[in-house]
Amino acid sequence: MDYKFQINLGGIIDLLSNHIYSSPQIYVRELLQNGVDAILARRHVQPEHAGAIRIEVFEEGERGQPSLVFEDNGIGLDEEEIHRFLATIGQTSKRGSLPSERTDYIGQFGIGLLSCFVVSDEIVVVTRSAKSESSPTIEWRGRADGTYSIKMLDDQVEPGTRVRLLCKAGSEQYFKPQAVRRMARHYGSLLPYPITLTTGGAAATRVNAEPPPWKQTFIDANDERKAYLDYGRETFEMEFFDYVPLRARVGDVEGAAYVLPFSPSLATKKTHKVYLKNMLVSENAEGLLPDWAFFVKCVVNANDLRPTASRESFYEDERLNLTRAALGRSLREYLVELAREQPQRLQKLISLHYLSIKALAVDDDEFYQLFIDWLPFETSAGQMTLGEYKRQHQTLSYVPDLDQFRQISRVAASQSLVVINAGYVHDAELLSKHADVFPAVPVAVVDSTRLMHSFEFLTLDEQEAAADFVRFADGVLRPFNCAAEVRKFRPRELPALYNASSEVNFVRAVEQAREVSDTLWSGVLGNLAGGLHADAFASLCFNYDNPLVYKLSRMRDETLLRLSVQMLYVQSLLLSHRPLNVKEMSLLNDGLLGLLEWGVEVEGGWVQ
Amino acid sequence: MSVSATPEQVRDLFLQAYSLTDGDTKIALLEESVRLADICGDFKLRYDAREHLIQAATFGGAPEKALVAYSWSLAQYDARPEEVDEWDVLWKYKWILDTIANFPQISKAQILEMLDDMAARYQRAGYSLRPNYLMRNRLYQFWDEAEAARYFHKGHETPRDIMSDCAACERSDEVSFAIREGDDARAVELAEPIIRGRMRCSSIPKSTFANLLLPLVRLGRLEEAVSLHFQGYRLVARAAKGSVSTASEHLEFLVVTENFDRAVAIFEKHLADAAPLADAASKFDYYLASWFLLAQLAERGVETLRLRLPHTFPAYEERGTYETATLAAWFLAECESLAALFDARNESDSYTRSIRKTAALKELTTPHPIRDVEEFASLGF
Repeated sequence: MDYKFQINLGGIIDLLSNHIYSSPQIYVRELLQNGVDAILARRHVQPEHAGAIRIEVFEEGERGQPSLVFEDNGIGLDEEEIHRFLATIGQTSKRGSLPSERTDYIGQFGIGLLSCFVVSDEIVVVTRSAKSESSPTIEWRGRADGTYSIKMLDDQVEPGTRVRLLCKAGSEQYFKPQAVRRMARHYGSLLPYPITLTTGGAAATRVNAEPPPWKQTFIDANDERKAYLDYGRETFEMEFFDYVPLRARVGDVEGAAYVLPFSPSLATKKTHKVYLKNMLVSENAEGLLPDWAFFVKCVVNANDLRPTASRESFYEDERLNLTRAALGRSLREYLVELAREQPQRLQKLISLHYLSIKALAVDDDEFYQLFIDWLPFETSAGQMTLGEYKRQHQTLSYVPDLDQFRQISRVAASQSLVVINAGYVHDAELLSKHADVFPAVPVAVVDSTRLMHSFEFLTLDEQEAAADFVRFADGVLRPFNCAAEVRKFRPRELPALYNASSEVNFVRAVEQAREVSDTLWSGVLGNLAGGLHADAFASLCFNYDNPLVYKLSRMRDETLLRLSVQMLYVQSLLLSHRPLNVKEMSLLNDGLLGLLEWGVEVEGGWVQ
Repeated sequence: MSVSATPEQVRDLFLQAYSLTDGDTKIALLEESVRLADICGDFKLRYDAREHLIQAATFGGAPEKALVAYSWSLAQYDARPEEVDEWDVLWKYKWILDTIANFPQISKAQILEMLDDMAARYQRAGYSLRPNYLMRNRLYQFWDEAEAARYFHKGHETPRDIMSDCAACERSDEVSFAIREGDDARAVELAEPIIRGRMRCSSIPKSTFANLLLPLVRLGRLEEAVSLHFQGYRLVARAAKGSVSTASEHLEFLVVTENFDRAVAIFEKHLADAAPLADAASKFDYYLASWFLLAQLAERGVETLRLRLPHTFPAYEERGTYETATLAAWFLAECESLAALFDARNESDSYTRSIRKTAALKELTTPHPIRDVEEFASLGF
């Protein structure tokens, strides 16, 4: 013997309100959806039928509680359909036999009416089928405890369906006329049938009067611009920089992209307001645009894309891919046209959204060629566009690493060298691509070693004079995996410059971690670094133009010289923002004490 | 120029890093924040800076940097447990072990000892050993498949708790296991909720979609494979540097289905990320797929290729023209020397075998041209 599952309606309602629907207001969406689908079904048999949806709110309804009537003049239901559709969970009246019929409808899951139980303990449906002249008027009364009754009414009402909800205690806020208007407008503002709202006996007002701008025709460009920007302001409560009408044949998408008036964070999700067949499905839909296009926020209606069950994104299929590409092309065309027609405006846009534009330029050569000179880069002489840089400098010199850039830019200015920081997202890729797109412009990758090579060498005499000092300093620094060199560079006030590659930084971080780690981890770290950058060496470049260094190079007192070299090393490390390891810290402590001691002993301080 | 640093400077770096995706720039900013925080000396800042760095480095393609920062954090947890979020430190232990075997210089004994250390720490803190067993499965597979399988089952029989991976990650792990066992049909069946979008997290479905490409080809379900390629590659392109290994799987799929134009575009795109990796296992995966692509092109009579390869790439040619067979041989030689290092460490032949397995993919060749190549190119990668 087979048995049937017993379903507890209360449990299901709880599930719906707590898990499936994000908010009780969804009931308005579900009612609108049922209404529109019923009208569509009626238009299949009576193509000339003019659909309409009417909502009436009674603030003091039955039993003193507010109530709401939601009425459509759609296909209506007969008795058999009532049993089948209103009282069977998971059954929907919207599965037509023809596939073309099926895709018209918005709803799919057959649980729409149930969502009303989230705000109401009793649902009364009065309906009359339009399929036959003699169809009776039927009243269905469903209760949250899972029971329902059916009654034939004597009045012959107009065909259609009228749903009456009696407010459940605690849900009053969802029955306030202002709230109902807002919700109806929120979900249904694009619906092609008039939706009217009546309250307190006042005249009915239209909820969805204005079609969206992409459904309007305009007298001129200003008229269009105003309509689009007004719509954007109303939709997102934001004053946008600009708008781009969107249209894609694939996915049957229409809408508008709005250029954000601020620079968005790369890490936040980029979401859009999406209507499906003119019914709002999501205000946070993802994945509609190519990844680079994060400078806009869109509102679109799609007739031919499939939302996921959560309705927060679309099924990633070929169609979505093609739609995304088409929308991306619209945005690209907008930028290209802006570059051609309104360069001033483009500059403003770039100052906000250069990251988006850089992201596209990385992969799109033609676009790159057009835009690269407009794009801003950080240089050692401040921020400038690549075009400005190229006008001032023949060679494109860039540093691909953030830390190296910081080290280099401290001295670059004094060497009359301006380098570009390519450590930021996309910048290294963009600059290395420059040679491919514009082969005539020389490009140089600069690192601190190469920078040091550009420092002035000592004359042969000077080299001879400083040779002992270099040898001695090198010996002092060797235990710290650092080599000593002497050159002349500006600024003269800088006695020494610490140069380290990213490999050295890594090795230093490993040493620092080993100092605090237990045997197991210390061993692991040792092996890790040994296999990677065992030979990483930093260098300390002394400045022969600096008076202190010049004096040191002639000092004979080895104890004092050792202390001085060590202190210069520690100071250069700190100047380049490198924390000291245990060994270096003790250098600092011992060195300071040593120098103090020496100063106290030698009366008069520094000896010539 | 100042030798000191302020907490504001450190927080400013956090803020700059916050708005970026996990990758080189973010890692560089956070490394700087670690250095500055150390100069400041404020414990909370020093710890937070490393916490951010561990995350960015783990998912941004620099697990060696995550390991270094993590070992410092773990030592602090031992030294001053009351000042550190225990759950957080122990959770990240999984990230570290997940990539530890990618470095052949770490010995097998060290890996085993770390697994024991993790288990002991979880037990002391009162957490389930489920993640430890599942981790053992992933690591043991390199030297003892039977033992790995035993841990896989043991892990799934052990109760979940708040240290367990999310449902999507665990399911993805089951999918990989089924593929390893050679049961493609079961792998695809297990992946259903991931494919349908009902199970996801920050790493899933990216890796799962890539894992399923070849199984679907073997099952003859090519349209589904193409769909997962489309969806999955988009996610890979987004997190380029941290997804080199995943990109390799897409590459192999494109070669097997003879979509060579697209394969070459992807090969060029990710080589700049793959070549400088310290993570030798990811580099191996990418070089192996690259070799397979080039060898297959050479076999089809493509003698030279115009390629835009990064200047830092060891086999870079100024003129941009490459002999297909020579370049293929270069990649194979690199793979063989990496495989030798891994196999010596693992005391097994699993890496040498994976070279043979990729070579054998040739037999799987199933031409299936993907339409709308221009459309694909304009998708923004």
